Amino acid sequence: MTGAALPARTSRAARAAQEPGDHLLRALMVAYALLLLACVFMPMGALLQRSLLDSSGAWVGLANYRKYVESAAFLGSLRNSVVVATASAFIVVPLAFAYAYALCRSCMPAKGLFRAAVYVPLLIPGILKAIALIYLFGNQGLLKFLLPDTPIYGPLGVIAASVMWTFPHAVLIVLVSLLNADRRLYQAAEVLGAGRWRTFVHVTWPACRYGVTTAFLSVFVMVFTDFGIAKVIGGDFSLLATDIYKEVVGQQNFEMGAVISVVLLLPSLLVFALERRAAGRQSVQVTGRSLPLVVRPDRLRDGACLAFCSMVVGAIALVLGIAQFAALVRFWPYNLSLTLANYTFDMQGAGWENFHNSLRMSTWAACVGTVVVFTGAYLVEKARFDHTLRRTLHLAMLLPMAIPGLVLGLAYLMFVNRPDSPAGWLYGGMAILVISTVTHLYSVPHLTALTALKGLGREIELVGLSLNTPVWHLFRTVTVPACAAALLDIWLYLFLRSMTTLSAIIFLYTSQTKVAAIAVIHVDETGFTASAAAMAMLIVYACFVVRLLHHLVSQALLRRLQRWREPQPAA
Amino acid sequence: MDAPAARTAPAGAEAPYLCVAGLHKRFGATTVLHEVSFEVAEGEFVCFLGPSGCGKTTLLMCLAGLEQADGGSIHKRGARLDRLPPSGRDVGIVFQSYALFPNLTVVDNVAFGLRSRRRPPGEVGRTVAGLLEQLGLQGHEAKFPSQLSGGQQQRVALARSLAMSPSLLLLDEPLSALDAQVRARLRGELRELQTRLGLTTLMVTHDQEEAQSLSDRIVLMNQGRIEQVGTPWEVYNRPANAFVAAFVGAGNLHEGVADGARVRVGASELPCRGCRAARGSSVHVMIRPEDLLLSAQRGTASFAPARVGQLEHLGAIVRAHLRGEDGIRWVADVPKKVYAAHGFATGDTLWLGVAADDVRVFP
Repeated sequence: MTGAALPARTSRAARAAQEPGDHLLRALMVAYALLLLACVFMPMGALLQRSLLDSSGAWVGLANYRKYVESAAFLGSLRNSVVVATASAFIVVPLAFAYAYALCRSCMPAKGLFRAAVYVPLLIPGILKAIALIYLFGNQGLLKFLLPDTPIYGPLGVIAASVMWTFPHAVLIVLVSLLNADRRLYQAAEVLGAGRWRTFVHVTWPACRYGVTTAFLSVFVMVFTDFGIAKVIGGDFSLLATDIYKEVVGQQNFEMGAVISVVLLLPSLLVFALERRAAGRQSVQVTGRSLPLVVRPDRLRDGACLAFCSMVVGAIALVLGIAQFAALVRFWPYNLSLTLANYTFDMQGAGWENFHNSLRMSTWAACVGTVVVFTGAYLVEKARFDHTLRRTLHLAMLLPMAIPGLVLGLAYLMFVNRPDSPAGWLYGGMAILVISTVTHLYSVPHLTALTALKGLGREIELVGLSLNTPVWHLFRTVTVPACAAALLDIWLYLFLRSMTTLSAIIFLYTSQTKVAAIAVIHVDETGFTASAAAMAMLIVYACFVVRLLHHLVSQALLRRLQRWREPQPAA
Repeated sequence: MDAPAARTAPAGAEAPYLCVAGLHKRFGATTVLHEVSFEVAEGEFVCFLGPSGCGKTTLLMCLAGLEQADGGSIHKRGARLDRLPPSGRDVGIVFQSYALFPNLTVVDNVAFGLRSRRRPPGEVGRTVAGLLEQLGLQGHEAKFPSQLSGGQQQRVALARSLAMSPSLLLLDEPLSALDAQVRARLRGELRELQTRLGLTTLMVTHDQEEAQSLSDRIVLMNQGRIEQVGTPWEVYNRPANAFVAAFVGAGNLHEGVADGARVRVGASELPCRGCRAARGSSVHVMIRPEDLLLSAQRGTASFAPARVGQLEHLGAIVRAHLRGEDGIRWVADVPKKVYAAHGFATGDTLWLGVAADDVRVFP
């Protein structure tokens, strides 16, 4: 055999040995590549292009950037954004670590309750937390006497609301890293005579360092790129994210909006790259089977944990309570009698139809998103060929994590609004809101689906092939039922986030498709804060109800589908 | 062994059932299979044995069609196999991890392949019930894999692949996830079942004892090449080279210098027969522990005195660790009865001896 003859033989053999299902998988992979191109890369390209043009559409190179960097607004906003994001991260991460530590390394009572309480803030839109803060510490706030001289509008309010908003996310990230502790390491440390501090420094900390770093970076990016909270409670305090909104909505200056978007995108991309690197290193560390840690009671520690967690839960309850109270009060703070009048929304440009839009959009996003995400993760994880394409798809599916919602939304606007755009027909409909939201939220559910599929083991598909089973049959009878829990979680995540996010769609709605989260901003702008609170509370109710339904459905479904998870009853 | 490529086509009585010729496979820059060729007769049980990373699992995956070879051919009954997709190869495969469908019961797992072939329910039921009975799984029909022990799970995986009545069974380290006792029992059951069904079976293992106890022939692999193909007896007693000698069974493997009909190891001169190495060239010398003779007095076969170190009482034999005056360490196995008759202890000095037939010399 000569060297030259080898490649030709290889490809012929590979072609000949294809399964019938391989054609389907390959076609789907190409479809996903095109989909990602259309939903991520082409809009981002349009945004980038726009930042290099002037208002008449002529090429100006980096002139817009130069103009922006030299403007007085740039340095101020950049500094403000960095300060607010850094401060929030430095406040949130220790709190989140303490909370997560209390949850899995103490014997305090009511741990289940405290664990469930973490999920509550996830059901509350960030803007509602800002509104609650105004009711607590604003000029006519309930607790104004605690902050007599400092106005809540501005950095203080933004940081406080951001802390509340990002806290549950940070707790969940840290929790994961604390949970995979190996009992044997702790036993070894104890036998070797290490004290608490040494054990913490040498055993606990190395295991969760990655989680803490990830939490820190995530919080930083979330706050750095968030727009809703700053809009409501920021006052005149300018941030990069609100600058984009002001340029685009206020002054119709799309070019400058695009420029600031690119500036906003850079740190997110950097953090994304850092995180990918750290994740690569971390995956090497987590190997082998570990035994779960058994925590022994310790009065002092358990008491401190209980006190701390109670305070956190108290704060969450206070925020939710004050928001609900404000939504029910006739005229704050002069007439505190209760009424449902705030829920009639009889002002211009807001109404119950916004809430209905929210439900419609979130249901679509959750249903479409779950199917698309899971199938995509399946292709990435299970196809036996085209390694490079699968790797590329995977990275492209993680990329939305690095794109701030506001930036993605603006990119969509520019993509569909171009006269030559192939997607122009989407503008004005509900579909573009759904597409933008699903793209914005894609990465986290993608990782959830991947984890579930990995847990199923790679050989399952190989066995299916050797048993002469078509891919789709195995997918339907084994893969999907075995991943039912993950699928439900993905659906819930997409629904809840779609209900509460607004950054990805703030540039894309029309009066017909305006959702509740956007209506909250508008109502708040017009000064009807109580109605804004009421509208935001509608979102909270819907999220609670759906969360509860999800719980009931998953209980029932898992009972039926996943009896196999239960260990055998004693014979 | 004949060159396999020479007899791919002829359809005679002695035509091999499975014929692998010049199989080649690369992963990026590393070659995992170098022109691998061997043949398997119908009904044979063949083990691929070798250290981890030697390419034995890749070879199995190529046979199953789950990996694509870069070159070479696989024929079964004279028909080309390597161009077919996995589902067209009529092979059953069992993995180390069992890979049972976690959400399906034992019955549904075993029936899975038949049902996706749309066989009539009556036939499926009969086949599955028959298999479960043969494998001793009655009473577990409605259980889920997580409710079974490791050994039971492995039996279900076996039943699932046998349900398709494959013409070739491929086993990828099927026993290595089990504990020692279950493994030994399953080993016997597996061989008995295979013989009863007359099913040609290829198994990957890194456990040489398992390979020797189960297989009709062993394909011994190292770094993507076949080192030797032979019966367990041949592989143990007539190793083709130093690697095989060291990998299969315990042995005294030392470096030496060839010297005509003798070979020098340390300060001793050992007899050897049929040693073809050039005089003065350095060689590897291997003597099995059971071939090493111990005696209190110098005899005709003796070559060096050595001091007895640690003694291992392994039941049927006593394994003695000895050290020659030149510092060379030897291991000798003494049958229980011989030890009982001659009894020696740590610290004694004994004469080491060996018959010329039992000294193997490799370049």
